[in-house]
Amino acid sequence: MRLPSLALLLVVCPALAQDDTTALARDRTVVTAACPSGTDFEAAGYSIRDVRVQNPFEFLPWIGSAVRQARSQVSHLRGAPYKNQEVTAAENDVYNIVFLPDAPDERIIINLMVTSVENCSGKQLDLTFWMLSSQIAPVVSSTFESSVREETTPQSSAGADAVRNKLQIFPSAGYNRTDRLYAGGSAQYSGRFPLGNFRVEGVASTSMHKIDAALSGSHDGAGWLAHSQWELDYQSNSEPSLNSRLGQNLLRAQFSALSRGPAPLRFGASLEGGNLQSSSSAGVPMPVDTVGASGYGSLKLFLGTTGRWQKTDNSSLGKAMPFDTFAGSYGVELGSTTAGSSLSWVKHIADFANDLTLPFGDHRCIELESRLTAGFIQVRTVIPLAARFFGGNRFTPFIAGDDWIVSSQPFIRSIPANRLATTSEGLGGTRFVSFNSTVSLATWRFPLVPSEVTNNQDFRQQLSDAFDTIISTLDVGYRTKDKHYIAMVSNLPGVQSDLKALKEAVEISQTTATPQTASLYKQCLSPIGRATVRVNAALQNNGQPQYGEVSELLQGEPGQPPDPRANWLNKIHQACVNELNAQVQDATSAGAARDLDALHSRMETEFAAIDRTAAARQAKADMVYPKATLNTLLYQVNLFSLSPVLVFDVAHLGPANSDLGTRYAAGGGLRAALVSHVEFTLGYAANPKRLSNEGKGAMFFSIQLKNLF
Amino acid sequence: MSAADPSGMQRIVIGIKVHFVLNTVDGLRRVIFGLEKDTQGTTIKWTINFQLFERQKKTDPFGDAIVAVDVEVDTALNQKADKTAQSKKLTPPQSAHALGPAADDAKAANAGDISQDDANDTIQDTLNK
Repeated sequence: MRLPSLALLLVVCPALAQDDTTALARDRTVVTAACPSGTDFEAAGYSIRDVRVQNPFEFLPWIGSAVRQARSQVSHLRGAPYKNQEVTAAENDVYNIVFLPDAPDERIIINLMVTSVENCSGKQLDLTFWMLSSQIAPVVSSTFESSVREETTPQSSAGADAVRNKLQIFPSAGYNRTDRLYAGGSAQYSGRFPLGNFRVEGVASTSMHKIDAALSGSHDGAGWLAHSQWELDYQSNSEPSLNSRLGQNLLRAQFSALSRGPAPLRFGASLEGGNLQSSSSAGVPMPVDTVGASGYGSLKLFLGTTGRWQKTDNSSLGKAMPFDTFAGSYGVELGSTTAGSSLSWVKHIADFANDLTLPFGDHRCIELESRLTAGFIQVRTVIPLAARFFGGNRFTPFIAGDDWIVSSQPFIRSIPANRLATTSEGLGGTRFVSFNSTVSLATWRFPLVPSEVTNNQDFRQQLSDAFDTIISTLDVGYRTKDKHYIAMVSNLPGVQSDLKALKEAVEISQTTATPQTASLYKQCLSPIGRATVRVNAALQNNGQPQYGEVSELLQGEPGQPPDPRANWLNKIHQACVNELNAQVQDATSAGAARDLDALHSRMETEFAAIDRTAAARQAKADMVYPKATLNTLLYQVNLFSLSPVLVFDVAHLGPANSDLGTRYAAGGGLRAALVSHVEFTLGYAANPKRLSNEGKGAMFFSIQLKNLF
Repeated sequence: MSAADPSGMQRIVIGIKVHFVLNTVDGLRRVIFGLEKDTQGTTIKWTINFQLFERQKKTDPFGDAIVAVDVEVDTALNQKADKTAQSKKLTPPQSAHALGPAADDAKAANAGDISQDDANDTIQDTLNK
C-alpha cells in the first residue's frame, strides 16, 4: 500500500505545481472590491491593473501556445487607461486566434467568449478574456463511452485534442496483486483519413507485460451509417493467473459502425489469429477439453445499441441536468485451433452498462455506474486455456479500442486479476455472470468553467438563443429537402422568363403612357425589378439562402400575415394587373401577367405544403447531443475533483458447485481526477465468501497520466 | 446593463460572444452564426452575424466567406422590439432571410450594384420576418 501511495504523491504533486498558471491561479485572485454595475469605466477614469486570457483546456500544449499568443497580443493593455474601443479591439484580437485544432469534418463547432472586469479598487480593475472552443460530433457523442469521456477527458468531448500530425504520450501506472506495481504508457500519432491514428501501448511489471500496436481510422458519413471505424492491431501479453501464466500473441483486423437515431445501432466484426499460451497450475487441474498452448484463429461478431437520455429543452441550458447513458451489446466469437474451417469453440458475451448522473448544487453530482455481463462457451472440440473465462479486478475488453467497450470476463474487485479461475472442471470457466456497481459523490471540486461565467444570466440566455437560432438554420435546411420545396423551386426558371416577358411588355406599353398612367407604370415596374433580383439570386443559390430569396417572392409562412415588405409576386399582380392594366388594357402585358400568376399560384401551394413539423423535428434532433454535451462541459465537468466511491460486485464463474459458486466484493475508495494531468482511483474491496487460496480482499488502484507533449 | 455574478458581485461581464459553426452533412457548406453582446460605456450593443462558406470538394479549404452579414439589434427600430429585447434567437424565416436576401444585398452593396442604405434596410429587415 505504501508504494503506490508514494508513487501517487510523486505524480500528483508536480502535476499540481505545474498547474498554477491555469485554473488554480484563478483561486488566488485577491478580492479587493466589487465592480460597480452600470459603470462606464472609461468615463470614470479607470486603468487596467492586470489583463488575463483564460481557456480551460490551456493544459493542452497546442491550446497553451494559442493562449500565450493571445496574452502577448493584449499585454499592452496592462497599466493602460481603460478605453472601450481598445478593450473591444483586444477582445476581437483574442477571439480571432484559432484555439481549436482544425477539424473541418465536425458538424458543430461552438465558440464562447466572455469578457469581464473584476477587482475594481483605486480606479484600477482587472480585465479577463475567457474563451472556450468545442467541436462536438453529434452522433458519436450519443454513445455510452462518449458520455463517460465527457467527465474524464472533457478536452476530447470538446474536440480540443483533435490535433493532427502530432505525437501524444500518455504515461500510466497501477497496482494490483496479480500484476504487482506496473508502469508504462502509450504514444499516439494522429494523421488524416485514410491513414488514421497510430498507437503503441505498453505496460509491464515484474510479473506481466502487455504490448499493443494499432493503426486505426474512422469516417463520418451523411447517410444512415453515421460513423464507421477500422483498426488493425498487434497484441502480445503475458500475465499470471492462479499459479500459472496466460499469454497471447495476436494480429487482428476490426471494423465497427454506428447508425443514426435516438438509440443508435452499432455493429462490427473482427478477425484475429495468433497463439494462446498457458503454463499449468500446480494446484488446479486443466479441464479435459482444454489445451495449454495452441495456435488459433477467430471471428468475432458484435451487435448492440447505445443511447443517452437527458432533458435538453430550453430549461436544461444553464444548469446541470440528470442524465442517463446506456449500452447493450452482444458478441459471439467463433474460434478454431486448427487450420481450415473446423470450429473448436463458440463464445457468447452479453453486456449491459448504465451510468446515471444526478447533479446537485454547483458542479456536484452523484454517479451510479452499473454493469451486468454474462458469458457462455460451447466447447466443440478443444479450447486453449487462455480463451476460457478468468475473473478478477481487471477489466478485459471483448472489442479492441476505446469507442465500444464490452466486458469479456467476470469483473470482481475483491479478487486479484485472473484469480477467479477455479471451477468444478478445473482451471478457467465456461460460463459466468457478473454484476458491478459503483457509487461516487463529487465532494471537493474545481469547475472546468468559472462560476462567474456559468452563473451569468446573459450568458445562459445568449447560449440558449444561439442554440435556437442554429436549430432554425438547420430547420430551413431540412425544409429545402422537402419534395414540395423541390417542386416549388422547379418553377423558378419559368418565373424568371415570365418576369422578363412582363417587363418587356410593360416597357413597350409604357411608351404610350399618359400623365395619368405614368406613375402606374413605375409602380408596376418597381416590384418586377425587385422580384427579378430575388429570382436571379434564388437561382444562383441553394439551401437556406435560396429559401430566404424565394420567401421574399411569396406571401410568407403559412398561418402568418403576409409580409408587407416582401410578397413581390403578389405586389406585381396588384400593381400591374389590378391597377395598371385595369387602366391601359394592354393584351400583351395581361398575357404575361397571367402566365406569371399561374406559376405564382403553384409556388404558393407547394410552399404551404412543405412539412415544417418534420423539418423542425429533424433540426432539433440534430442538436440534442451537442446541446447535452455542451451543457455537461459547462455545468458539470470539473477540472479537479475528489470523490469517495462505494463499490459492490457479484460474480459467478461456472461450472461450479456451491463451494466455488458466487463471490462478492464490497468496499470503497477514493477517485481523484485532475483533468489536465492525472486521474486515479484507489480502493479496497473485501471478499466475504472466499476459497482457502484467496485473500480477504483486494486493493484496486490505477493511475492514468495525461498527454505529456 | 450586464448582469454581475450573483454569487459575489465581483466580476462584471462586459462582453459575450457565442458563435456556432455548422458544417452541412455533405461537408461543402459552412454557416457561422454569431450572437455578440458588447458594452461600450453604458451602452449595450447586440449584434447577430452570419457568414456563409462554400467549397467544391471536401478536400478543399473553405477560404473566405462568400457572404457575411452583421445584423445590429436596435430594439427601437424593429417592430418586434419587445420580443427581440428579451430574446435574440432567430426563427427559421429570419435565419433564411439573413443568409439569403440580407447576405445577397450586402454582397451587392459591396459590388456597387445597390446602395449601402438599401442593403442595410434589407439586413435590418431580418428581425421583422
